[in-house]
Amino acid sequence: MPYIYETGKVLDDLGLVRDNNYLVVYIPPTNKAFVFWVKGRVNSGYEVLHYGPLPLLTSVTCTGYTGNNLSPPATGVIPPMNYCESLLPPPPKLIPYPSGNLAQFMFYFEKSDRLFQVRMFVRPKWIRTQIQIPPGSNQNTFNENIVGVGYSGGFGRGYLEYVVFPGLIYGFVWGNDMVYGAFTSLDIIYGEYHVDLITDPDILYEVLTHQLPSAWVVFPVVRVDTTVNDKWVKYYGFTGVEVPAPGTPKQQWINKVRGELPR
Amino acid sequence: MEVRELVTYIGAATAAATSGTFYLYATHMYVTGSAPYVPIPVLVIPFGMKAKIWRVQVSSTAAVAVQLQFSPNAATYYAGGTPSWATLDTYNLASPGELVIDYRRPIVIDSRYGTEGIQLVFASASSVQPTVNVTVEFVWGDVEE
Repeated sequence: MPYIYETGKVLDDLGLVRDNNYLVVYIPPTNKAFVFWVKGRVNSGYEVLHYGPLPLLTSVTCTGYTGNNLSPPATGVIPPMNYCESLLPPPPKLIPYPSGNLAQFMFYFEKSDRLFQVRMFVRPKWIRTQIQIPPGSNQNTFNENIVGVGYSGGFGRGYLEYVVFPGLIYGFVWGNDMVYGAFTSLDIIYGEYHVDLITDPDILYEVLTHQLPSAWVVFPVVRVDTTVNDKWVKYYGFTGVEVPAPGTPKQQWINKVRGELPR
Repeated sequence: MEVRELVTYIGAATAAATSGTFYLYATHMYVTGSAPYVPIPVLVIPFGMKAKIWRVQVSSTAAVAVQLQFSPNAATYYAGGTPSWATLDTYNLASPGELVIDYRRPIVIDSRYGTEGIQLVFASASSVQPTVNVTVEFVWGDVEE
């Protein structure tokens, strides 16, 4: 798995965080993190969701790898040698009449005590994948240069994994560098968690220094968009806690971050 | 992350002839009959991936010779060019029937430039319309293999 790892036995066979464990979401560009206590999984026992075809709309014009820009010829079909942007609305038979932001992103929610961990498996598996947080914001770089599915590197194939924060919509780019158009398919393994945001500096220090077992997920961004920052402040009251450098004395670190933590 | 996709392509000649090219189709291929949504005569391997050819099956109502061919510039076919082909393997069906070759070790083709690809062609003394099934595994990320 590209984005998640664990200290201790925190993940289950599906790659999701077991109940009553800590989940750290690390924000690379700020060297900060949010630590959540995963109290329980709402969808325990039904973590696998077959989405159906990718939400590729015929109204979208994709970008050709060799200059021939095509639109999907039918919903869910990715044209040959093209890459296309999409949102991720709920499948029609899952939520028939979504409204507002939920209509754009099936994992959209507005509660600070919830969190989604999402693993997406795309077929055919050679489909290039990229996430944009928020939509349209290219977050894939190589040595500080923008890359992604439209380049020769900076993309995954057939897989994405991420954590969804409240109030945010994520966008996606899908690339097909095969010479024929293909029906697509998306399967999702997700955890809808009941969480508590950890703000106790003692626990934070012990989790962030691996003294307490936890799952670490890297938030796949190289810069924090203003929209994202604002939502963190709105729902959590801060933008994450600085991760202590190895060897930082506990009290020294607590003195440094105490003022940033919400009361 | 390593990715593997196993695809079975079904190849058919467009009409009975003494020679020709197989047009490949797969169940996930979107086909309407209008270009570019038609079965493909040339399979180009996506950039940086490997294609492992595990199995070839030839069916015909008369003797036929089928060739699996490789080109380093197969992608030029889709730009109106003419790729240069080299034969990787030949499957001689001596009489009406079926020939199945299950490779214990697959034929591996690397996509170094994103232009490499394969095609399957046939030749026969009489006019035939053979079919082929080709099982290809596309692999991404097994860089140490």
